[in-house]
Amino acid sequence: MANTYVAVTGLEAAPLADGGAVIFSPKTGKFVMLNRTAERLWTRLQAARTEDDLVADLCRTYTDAGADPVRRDVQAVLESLRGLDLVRPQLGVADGGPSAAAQGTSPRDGEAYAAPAAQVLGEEDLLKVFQLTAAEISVAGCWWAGCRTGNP
Amino acid sequence: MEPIATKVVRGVTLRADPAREPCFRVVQDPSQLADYADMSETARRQRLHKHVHNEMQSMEMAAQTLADFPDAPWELRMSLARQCWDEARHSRVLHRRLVEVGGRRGEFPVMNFEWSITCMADSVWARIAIQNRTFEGGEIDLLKRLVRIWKEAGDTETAEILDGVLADEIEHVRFSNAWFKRLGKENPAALLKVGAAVHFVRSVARALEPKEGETNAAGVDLTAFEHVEVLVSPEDRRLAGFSDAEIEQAVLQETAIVATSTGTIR
Repeated sequence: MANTYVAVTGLEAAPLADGGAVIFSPKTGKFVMLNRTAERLWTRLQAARTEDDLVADLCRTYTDAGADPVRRDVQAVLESLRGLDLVRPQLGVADGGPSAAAQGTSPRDGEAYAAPAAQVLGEEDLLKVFQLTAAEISVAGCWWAGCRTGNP
Repeated sequence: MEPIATKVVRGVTLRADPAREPCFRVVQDPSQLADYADMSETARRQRLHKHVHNEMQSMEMAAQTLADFPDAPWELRMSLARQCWDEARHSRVLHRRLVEVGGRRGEFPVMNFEWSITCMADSVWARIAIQNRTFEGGEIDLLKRLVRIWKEAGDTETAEILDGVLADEIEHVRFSNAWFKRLGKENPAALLKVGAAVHFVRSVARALEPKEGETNAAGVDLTAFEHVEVLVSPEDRRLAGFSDAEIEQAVLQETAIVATSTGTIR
C-alpha cells in the first residue's frame, strides 16, 4: 500500500511575504517556518495524500523539476514534518486528487523549483520574519509625507 | 469585541472611517489625495496637514483599542492611554505649526489609511502589532528622514517638532516590542497574530499601490514619485526594542524592495 500522510489537526498558521508560512504546534510549543514549496505540500496535506500524489503535484507545478530528486525532497520533508509532529501517516487510502480549495501557494511566473524545507524558529527569529518596513508600506502612497522630491 | 462597520476599498475590506468634523474631506484612495513631491509653501502646508491628521488617527486607534479590548492587561492599557495623550499632544503641536505657516484644518483631503487597517484586527495583540510595531516602527525611520528634509528646507522649527514626536514614537514601539517578548514566553501562540497582522497590512498596501501613470489630486504622477529609499534607522530601532537580528532583517527587506523596484523607489 502507498504511504499516505495527513497534517495533524489543531495547528495554527500565519502566512509569510514570500509565500511560505509559519506553523505553530500547541502540543510541542514549536514554530516551524515552511518555504513556498513546503507550504504548498502542507496545504495539500490538509487532506490525506500519498507520497505519489505530492510528488506528482510538485512535478506538475514546477516543470523544471525532475521526478527523482523531487521524490527524494518530498520524502525528506515528510520525515522532517513527522519528526516535528506536524504530519502523521494515515492508514488507508488518500482523499483523492487535487482539490481546488487546497492547492497552496502558486508559483510566481518563471519561479524555479526549490526543495521543500521546514525550519524550527525561536521566538526572536519569529519576530524577525514578521516585519514590514516603511518602504513596503509606502508602496500605497506618500505615507507620512515621507516623500522628498522628484516631481515638479 | 462588538461587530464593526466596514468599507471596501480596491477590493479590500477595511474598518469604516471614524467621525470627522465637516471641515475635512475624507477620501478612500491615495489617488484622491493632494500629496506633493516638493517643499513648496503649499507642499509644506500639505505635509503638516497630513501629520496633524495622522496623529489624530494614531490617538483614535489607541483609544479604540482601549474601548474594544477592556480585558487587555492593565499595564498595556495604561501604556495605550498614555499613548493617546502623546498622540493628541502631537496633533495639537503640529496644528499650531500648520496655522503658523498659513494652513488650516481641511485645506487638503485626508485618508484614514492606518485607522482602517489597524482597527480591522480582532485581537489586542494584532492591534499593537500593526499600530505600534509596524506603522510606528516604520514612522520612526521616516521621522528621522523628515527631520532632515525639513532642516534642509530651512524650517528648523518644524524639524524640531518632528524630532520631539520621534522620541515619543520610539517609546510606543518599545512598549509593544516588550509585550511581544513577554508574550513569546507566556502565550507563544499569540505571536502568530503578529504574522497574520503583518500579512494583512502588506496585502492592503499592495492593493492600494498606484498603477503606472496614475496621478493624484495634485496632478502628481504617483509612480514617478520618490516615495522611499533605504531608511532603516538602526539606532532608533534599537532604542525601540528591536533586536539586532530584526534590524538586520528590516534592512534586507528594504534593500530587496529597492533592487526590484522599477523607479518608484529610489
